Amino acid sequence: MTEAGPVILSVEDLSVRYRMPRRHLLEASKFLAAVDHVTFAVRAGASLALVGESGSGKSSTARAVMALERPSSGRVRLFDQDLATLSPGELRRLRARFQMIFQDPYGSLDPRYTVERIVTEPIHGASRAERQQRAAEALAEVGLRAEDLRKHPRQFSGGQRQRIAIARALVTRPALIVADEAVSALDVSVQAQVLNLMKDLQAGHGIAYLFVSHDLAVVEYLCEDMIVLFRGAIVESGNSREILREPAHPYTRELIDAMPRLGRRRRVAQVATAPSDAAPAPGGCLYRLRCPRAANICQTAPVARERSDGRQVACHFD
Amino acid sequence: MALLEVDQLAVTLQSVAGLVRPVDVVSFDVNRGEVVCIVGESGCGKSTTALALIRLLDEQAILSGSVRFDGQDLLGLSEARMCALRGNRLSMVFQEPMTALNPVKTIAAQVMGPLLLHTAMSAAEARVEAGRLLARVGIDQPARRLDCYPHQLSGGQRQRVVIAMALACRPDLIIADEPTTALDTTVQRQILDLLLSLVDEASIALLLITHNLAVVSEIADTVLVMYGGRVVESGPASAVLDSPRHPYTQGLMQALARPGAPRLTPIAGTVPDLARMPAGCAFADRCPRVIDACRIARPVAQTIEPGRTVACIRAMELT
Repeated sequence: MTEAGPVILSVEDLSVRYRMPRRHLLEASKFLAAVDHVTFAVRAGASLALVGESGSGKSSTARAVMALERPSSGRVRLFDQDLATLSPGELRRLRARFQMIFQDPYGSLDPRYTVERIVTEPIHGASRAERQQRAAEALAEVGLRAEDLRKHPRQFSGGQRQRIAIARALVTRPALIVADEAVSALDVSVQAQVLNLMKDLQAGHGIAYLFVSHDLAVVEYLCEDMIVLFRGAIVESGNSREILREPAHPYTRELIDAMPRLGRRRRVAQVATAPSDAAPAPGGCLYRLRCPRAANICQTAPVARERSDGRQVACHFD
Repeated sequence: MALLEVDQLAVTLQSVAGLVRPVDVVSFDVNRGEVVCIVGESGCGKSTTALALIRLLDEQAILSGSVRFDGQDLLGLSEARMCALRGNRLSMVFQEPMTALNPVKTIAAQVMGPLLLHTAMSAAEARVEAGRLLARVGIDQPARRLDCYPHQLSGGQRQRVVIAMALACRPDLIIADEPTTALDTTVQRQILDLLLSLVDEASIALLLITHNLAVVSEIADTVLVMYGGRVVESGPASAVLDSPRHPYTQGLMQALARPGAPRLTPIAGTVPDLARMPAGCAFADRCPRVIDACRIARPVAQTIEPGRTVACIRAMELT
């Protein structure tokens, strides 16, 4: 099914670097590569998850896709247009086709605005009546009522607010929605509502998702494919279900093993020392300081290889 | 006698909408070496219950019932006596380590704090002990970390420091409110393992507040499921999660995203407004098995098996 649609988002060799604070004025600037030569594509109607721990670059990648972050090198192509070459006006017009949902439904909705103003904000160049009409339709799609348009965010529960955020993202009929931890802050019962809604919208409107999450169970539910990031680089990518069933990269395995699971009773004998969170010297595999399989060969950076089943793995031992 | 005996605890607050009861009669015990989890969604009263136990709620809050800690009634203690217990025999770990730590004090000063307050140690002795505590919670190079400030540590290390502080005076009971919610999955695993090992080694009792049912399944001996300020189901964690008997617990389990689920089943509706709690069962409006009798009176917790209670009038007919 994912193979059918045309590529709508293409991230090519993307790097995002941040300048680190200097300790004194004359010190040479140091840079941190939040995203380090990342390449992937999303097809129309597909769903791709970016997973990894904090500092893995998953949010920075999503922000670069939304043109909220400028690539240090590489390109983000949306609908065959290079985001970096667009004028602000062109970018604004293109924005109607890709929208974003954020983690915190309390922080991302302006408390002073009515739901109508919030939901119609992305619409440009339409009459008031038309905007109202489209906002009411978007609200209906997420299970809210037209009379909710006159209310303010504070009058809604957390799950309802996230629905409002989704309605705002839907109102321009986007082809791509970038969702950064969009269900993480929600309670279990509400999370289920929002995930079902996202799945229905995908089936009904062919919306593609770039879904940033740390919750592997949610990723498996919503996303056919996933990319595992570690310190800004892709360590493994492929079909979500297959990766979760049989991870190939040791870091993916660590992530899966760490996930709390129902029905798995845990008892530990002794305290383990916290694994190193130091950055390894440049040049080798970025995961080698934490990797249970690390060997001499890991001083050389592994190159991602594509296996016969389409999975890509950046590990010498795969 | 259990280490902690909570009997008919209720919390009443004055709000703009009138009197509300975020905790509406909760009873449970915690034994030495036992892990008890309180699980529930936002607004169910789980955190308020924890704060009420250690008397950290706003002074306006009216507490009733009794909380006996090692035989002593905490609700009747003076604030000074309560202060002597907190951080000493009874300590706390909260969700966000950055807010629990003072950003302008070194790690040494913070871990030494409870030692200097509650023990007769000199500053030099306390510093040595602080280093030992950091090693105990798995911080590498503890001697070097002593002179760090909180911002120089990662989130996981900060939470380890908070746990070191909680351990400083060899507590009998640790109350941890969502201690891993702000952390990465891999770090969450480490912190949960650390808490469990402390329970095992030192027979500490752990009262863990969480919204995560998988965490409960992995570490709890006993679980209390709260809804609308009440305990709707309680018992051995494995029994409650394997075969939940209250429709709310059943709904929570069905709503969980899990491998191979074709579609999730959310719980319809929203949590009731505390200011407008129904006379009958608080879950009635969302319950797929509601009958007229549910709305008449509040269901009493029934013991369905030894150690297992369900507050549902249909508990015996529904499985």
